[in-house]
Amino acid sequence: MTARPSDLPDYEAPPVAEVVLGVNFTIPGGLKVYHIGLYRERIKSKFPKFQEQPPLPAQDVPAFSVFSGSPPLPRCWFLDESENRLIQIQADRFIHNWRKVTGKEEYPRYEVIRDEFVARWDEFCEFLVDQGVSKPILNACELAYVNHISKEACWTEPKDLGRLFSFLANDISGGAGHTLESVQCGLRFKLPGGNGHLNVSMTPAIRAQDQQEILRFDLSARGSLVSVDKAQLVEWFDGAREAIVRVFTSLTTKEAHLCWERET
Amino acid sequence: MMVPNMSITASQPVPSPRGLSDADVQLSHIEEALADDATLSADLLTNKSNRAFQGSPSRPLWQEVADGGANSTMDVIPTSDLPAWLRICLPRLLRLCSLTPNWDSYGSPPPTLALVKGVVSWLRFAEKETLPEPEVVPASGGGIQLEWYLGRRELEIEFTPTGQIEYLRSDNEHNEEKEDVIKDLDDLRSLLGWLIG
Repeated sequence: MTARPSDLPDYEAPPVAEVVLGVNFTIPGGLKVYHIGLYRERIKSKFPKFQEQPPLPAQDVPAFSVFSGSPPLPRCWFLDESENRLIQIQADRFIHNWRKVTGKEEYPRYEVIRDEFVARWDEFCEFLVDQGVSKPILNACELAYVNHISKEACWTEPKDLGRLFSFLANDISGGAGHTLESVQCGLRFKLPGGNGHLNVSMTPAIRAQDQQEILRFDLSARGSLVSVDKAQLVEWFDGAREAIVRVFTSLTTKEAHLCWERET
Repeated sequence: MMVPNMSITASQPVPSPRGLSDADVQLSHIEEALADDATLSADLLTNKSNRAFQGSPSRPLWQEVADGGANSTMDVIPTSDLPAWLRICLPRLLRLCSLTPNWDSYGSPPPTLALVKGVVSWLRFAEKETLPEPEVVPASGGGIQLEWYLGRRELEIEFTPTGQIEYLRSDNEHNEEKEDVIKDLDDLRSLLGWLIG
């Protein structure tokens, strides 16, 4: 595993609400619905809860089921007891999420979540081998950080956001007679080394759980992957994480860093 | 309100535009710019009416709307393109989900978050900025009813968990009353237009 770069910014109280690590793959012959049932039995002790969700749409490559003629599998959620961690599986995706549920959980840090993802992915691949299913052919991976910047914590009005984000002008009030209602924007960067792209988005929202107004600030890196080598997979995630943290820090101001208790 | 089942037609979503350059800043409709890359964690469909409405015989129409792009595991509802009246009443809509089961003593469940998202999506697409805030009330069976009283006109719209959207409109000036289902956005826009007419 790549060591954390010593100069990588670190925050004691980052606004992160969810971290997502996932891979896209193709399985020749396809994943069948009974595999999902068997897999559930295998991980039930750690992930006792189960939900079905609509499948995520195909991204860079067409979903295999388009060609196989099989009906699409749902996206299956396997949740741990606290629902802080969940595994999402569909015909062409394996995703591991850590997320806040009560809002009071401490962020366990990237390295912990990454290691959990790797362990779960290894277990899933072992399961497929045990079932005689073809090895998944990886074609893309994604790392996403979802930040909830609560209204009361760092800002009160949309015009305050100019003080938190370096790419917004200090004065975004629009001048006399105008009231800024909301700020919504997106940026897209190339990852270093041709490792994909990093999308950044900012959108106001209301959190269902507590009906709090938040600014959702997402950073999502995505890259193609041709190797199935685990070390290379981890290297990609570590590189994407570094890019996300550096871009996050670059796009936010010192005032915001104070709010999130930046340490380095 | 007793109304017949509505039929729902299916169609495919319009693909999002691609081809953003690096560090391209888009100050509106960000979801269209990002939709092609990602997002294991995004939530509600927030695009405007240029995208075809989805529907299938097996799924409620409101749910088709609510699920569009619904690949997040966290429940947040984007508010940037909501009209002010809807933004204000959104917390009230969400609080309905916290009702206890059997809240009406007739065994009704509370409305689900998915239904709230569906309601918001429909009203978001209705593109009526000038409406007053509606009364928000739970409906028997787990539905949500919105009620507007504007002068001598009254409008009730009920979103049911089975996927129907029903309305009752009353014109107290001409002593007229009509109830029916809302089949599509044009119906909804027309009704809201009638209300503020």
